[in-house]
Amino acid sequence: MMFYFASAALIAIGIYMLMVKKNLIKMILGLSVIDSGVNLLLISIGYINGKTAPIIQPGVSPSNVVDPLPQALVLTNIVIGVSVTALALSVVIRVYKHYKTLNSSEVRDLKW
Amino acid sequence: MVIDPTLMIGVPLFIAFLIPVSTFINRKFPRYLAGGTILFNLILSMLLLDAALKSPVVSYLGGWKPPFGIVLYAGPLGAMLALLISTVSILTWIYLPEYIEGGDKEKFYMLYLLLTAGATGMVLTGDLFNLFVFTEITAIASFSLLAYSKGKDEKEAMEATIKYMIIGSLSSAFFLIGIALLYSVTGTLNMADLSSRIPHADPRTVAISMMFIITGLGVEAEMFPLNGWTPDAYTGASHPVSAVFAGIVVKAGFYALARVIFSIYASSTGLGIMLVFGIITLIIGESAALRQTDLKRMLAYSSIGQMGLIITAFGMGTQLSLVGGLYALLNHAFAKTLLFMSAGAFILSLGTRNIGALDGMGKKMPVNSILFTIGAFSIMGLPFFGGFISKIVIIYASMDAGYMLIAILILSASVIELVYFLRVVQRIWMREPGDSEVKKASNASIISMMVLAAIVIVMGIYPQAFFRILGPAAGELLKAIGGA
Repeated sequence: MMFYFASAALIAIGIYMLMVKKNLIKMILGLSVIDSGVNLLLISIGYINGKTAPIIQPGVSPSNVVDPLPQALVLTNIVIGVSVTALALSVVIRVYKHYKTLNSSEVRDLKW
Repeated sequence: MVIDPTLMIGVPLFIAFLIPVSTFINRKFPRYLAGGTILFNLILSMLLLDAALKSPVVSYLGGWKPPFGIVLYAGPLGAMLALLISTVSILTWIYLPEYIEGGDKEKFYMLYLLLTAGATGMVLTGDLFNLFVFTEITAIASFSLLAYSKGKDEKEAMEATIKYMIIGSLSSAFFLIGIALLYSVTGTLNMADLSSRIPHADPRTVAISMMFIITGLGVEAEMFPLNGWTPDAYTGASHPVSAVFAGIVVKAGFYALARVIFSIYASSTGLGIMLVFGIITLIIGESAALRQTDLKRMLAYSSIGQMGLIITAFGMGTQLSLVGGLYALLNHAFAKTLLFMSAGAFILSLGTRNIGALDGMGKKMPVNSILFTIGAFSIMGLPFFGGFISKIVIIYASMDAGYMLIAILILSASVIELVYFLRVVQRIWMREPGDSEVKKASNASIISMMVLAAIVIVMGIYPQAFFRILGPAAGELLKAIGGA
């Protein structure tokens, strides 16, 4: 149960960072925090207290392992998260080159 | 012959990562390698559509049977959209060489192939998490393509990219939260399995997961109020990329949304959400387009409006309205791609996106102007163009289903659409030209635009050919919802 609260808290912190912070790098950090929260949520869905990793070895049978599928999903999502963060940071570098600022409220040439 | 849909995703993905290497053979080679791969996809998707109309094509990845493995499922709808994606992709490929700048074109072609592969995967997959992965591939490729611009447009492109990236990443996080919640109550990710287990699952968790997934996918489908990125992205992107966004990315995103609501949740609440937000999207998009002075921005808002029309049509959830919505989807994909391409040719020769600069272009660039006019007429819904059929079917369907208010709102939105497109068309044909020199569009780009214009006109005068495919495609979505 604790894990669910922790992941909800992480997601909420990340969304707060996205909404309140003006610095583009801090906003991207917020995205990473949300990602970690989602990963934790996925892992805790598959977690069963007192059971072990689903690797076939002596003493491990299908009845006492945790659900392996969420772990595969989390691995995939970690890779996606890393690549999105890397891409976002490289875009921020080029934004800085043109605008000479990281303040998101000054990066607004395009309007409605 | 049995077509394996896996090839349509696997081959472009594999070739995409070969492209940076292939540049050692010849500087021109990446372009033709990418083109050949898309052509391969085009041929395969035609065969796939032919097979899928008889019976759905199902392929188990790695030989693992569901619910353990990932399954690819190509029904009439998925196969039709795969064909749409590869058609738009190959036509944009013909169009694009003079519109992208910079030396490293192989990177552009790599991202372009990744985008095609990702979008094809989105429409063919039968697994919810796999849908998420392909959505991410498409999204990352479109972020990078949007950022791919040099020279004076680079500043705007960067701003649009950072906006799109932040909202896109947040939306995919929401999508994944929805998937996680759904998995926690059903214990499966296979779409067919999910739809059979959802009625027995905890309804509150299911409802919350649906909200998360609609929020996540609504961003790609340009649904109000999640479409703040759209005008900036279409304005900042280079012209072929805007065309691909309108023709491929948004269509695949919308398909994912429709698929989740119809096939997985089969929920009338979901349909109600689509109906309400669709009509708001339609009105807001068209009204915002009315006051634009920037050509590409106007087309972007018009694209939001059209997506609103399509979402509304799907929200009504009858066989007729779905056929109309799918017709509008095809028409919008072809006509808006055509509009972005011809607008790109205007902008390239004029050096400005201002609508006021288009005075008298009908005399200076007659062929391009005719093509732009065909696209505009089709979006407006004038007779003998594809848009007419789609709008008349949707309005008839909405009156048939008893939504008089919706029919009135669609008609009034069409009037707004007529006003702002006619304003541009009138400037092109009726005004006296200035005396500046213009650069003619290349033959290759004219040919690809002509093909698109021909498709749009055929859609207007011979709709039976398309209804033959759209009927089963709409039936496929409705089957899950029980013919509601």
